[in-house]
Amino acid sequence: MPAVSIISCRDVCFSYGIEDVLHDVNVGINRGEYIGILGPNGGGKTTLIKIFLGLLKPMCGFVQLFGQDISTFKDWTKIGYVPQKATNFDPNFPATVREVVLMGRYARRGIWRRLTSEDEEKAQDALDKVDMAAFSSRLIGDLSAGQQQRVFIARALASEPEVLILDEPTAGVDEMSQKEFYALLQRLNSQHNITLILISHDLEVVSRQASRIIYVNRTVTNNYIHRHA
Amino acid sequence: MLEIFQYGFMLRGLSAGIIIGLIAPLIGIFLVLRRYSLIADTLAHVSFAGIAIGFLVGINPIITAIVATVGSSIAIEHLRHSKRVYGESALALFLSGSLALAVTLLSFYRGFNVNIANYLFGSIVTVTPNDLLIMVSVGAAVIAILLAFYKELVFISFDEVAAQVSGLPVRRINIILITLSGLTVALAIPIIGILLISALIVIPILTALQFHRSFKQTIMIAELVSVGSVVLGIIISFYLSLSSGGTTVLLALLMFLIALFFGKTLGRKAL
Repeated sequence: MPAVSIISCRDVCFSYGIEDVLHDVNVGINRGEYIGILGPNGGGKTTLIKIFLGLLKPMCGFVQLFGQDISTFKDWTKIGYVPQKATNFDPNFPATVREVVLMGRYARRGIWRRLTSEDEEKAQDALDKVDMAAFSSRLIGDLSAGQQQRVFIARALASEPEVLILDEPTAGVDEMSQKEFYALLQRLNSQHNITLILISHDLEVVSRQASRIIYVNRTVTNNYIHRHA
Repeated sequence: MLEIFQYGFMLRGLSAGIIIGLIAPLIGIFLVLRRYSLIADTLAHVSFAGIAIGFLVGINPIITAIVATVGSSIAIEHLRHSKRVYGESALALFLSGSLALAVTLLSFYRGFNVNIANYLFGSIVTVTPNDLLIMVSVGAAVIAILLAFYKELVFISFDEVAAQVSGLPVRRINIILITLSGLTVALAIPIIGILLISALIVIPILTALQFHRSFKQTIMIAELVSVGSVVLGIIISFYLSLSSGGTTVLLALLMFLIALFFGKTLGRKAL
């Protein structure tokens, strides 16, 4: 089967003001890969991901998503995003796990449209996949950090994405939950054929699990890991 | 007891109060959760300038208040977005600036026979049949637009970045929210008053949040608190000759205090 390109960057550069953050970035990511992104703090990992997500516009070069130029790309539901928990989340927000996961269906459903029973089913499926169905009527703020992170994965899965982009998803999560979390990622990649792009500090886990490591420090170095299936 | 319903102005006051009571929490929940609470107060002051303009040029002050708040809310959002000034400084700028404009305009208008206190603190007698017509139609439009963008607003309030990544037009929806806030504030002024309107937008939500429930249930509780305090506030103020705005806000505050102390226990029991 020929490789299907999910993300490709050619000669991409980015700077905040005069500070050069990324230059000469050339990366291609294909369907089914499990990419680990490593690199020092301030090396540009999050910037690179923000460029993939369309949150930042590169100053030079080209970015293609699913073979289409990013400026004309509309199919954002194909891309699931799991943010760093600590930065984006109010623990007192009055939402149940079910309500949070349903958010993943909103963009798919479109403005003016109400959610249907299909959306409810997809949300339920997503919760099943991350083993959180038993918690669906609990408030998101009442869960542990590890459980919350699973819910955010479920929210991303609910939009039925082809690729999941995770930005240091295990920050603040205890070790036991981290293990289960990585097992879940492995399962999503191998059984559900979801492409994974994972920013992580955990060199050991990433080198054991990922099919390829991208090292980001001002520019990008690809390190292939050859694995025997 | 029922003599209250024999007066046309009371019926108008009550109907107007119920409309405001229904809309305020629907806007309030998004403003409070996004830490935008102070916007309501700012827009209320802006509407004061609008009202002053209305008096000067002889147009229904509700209409000029609507134009002023909607225009300013869009300007505030642009100013925040452009990052030329800090978010809360943009609010301070508009709050004091429009108050200055209002006071200056009103001093031009010597000998006016309007009781400004009615607009500052709210009075049910100020609601004319024309006002009520405007409130019903604009109020219905606000509710319809809020329902249309309900799920998008929920997502953006919870996680703006994830909402943007999922393809929602976040900036456009932010502008819609702040415009609707402006409309709501302008509509609420005759009943609740400029200085008290932000309380009605914020307090019922803070009260409902104490119960620690789902998003939908939080809105339901806030609606009960809001409509309840407006209706009770108007009735009590009628019989005791009190300010309707003040009474309403004090009642909402009382409910907040009860929820603050008993909310968790009550919320848990109901679960």
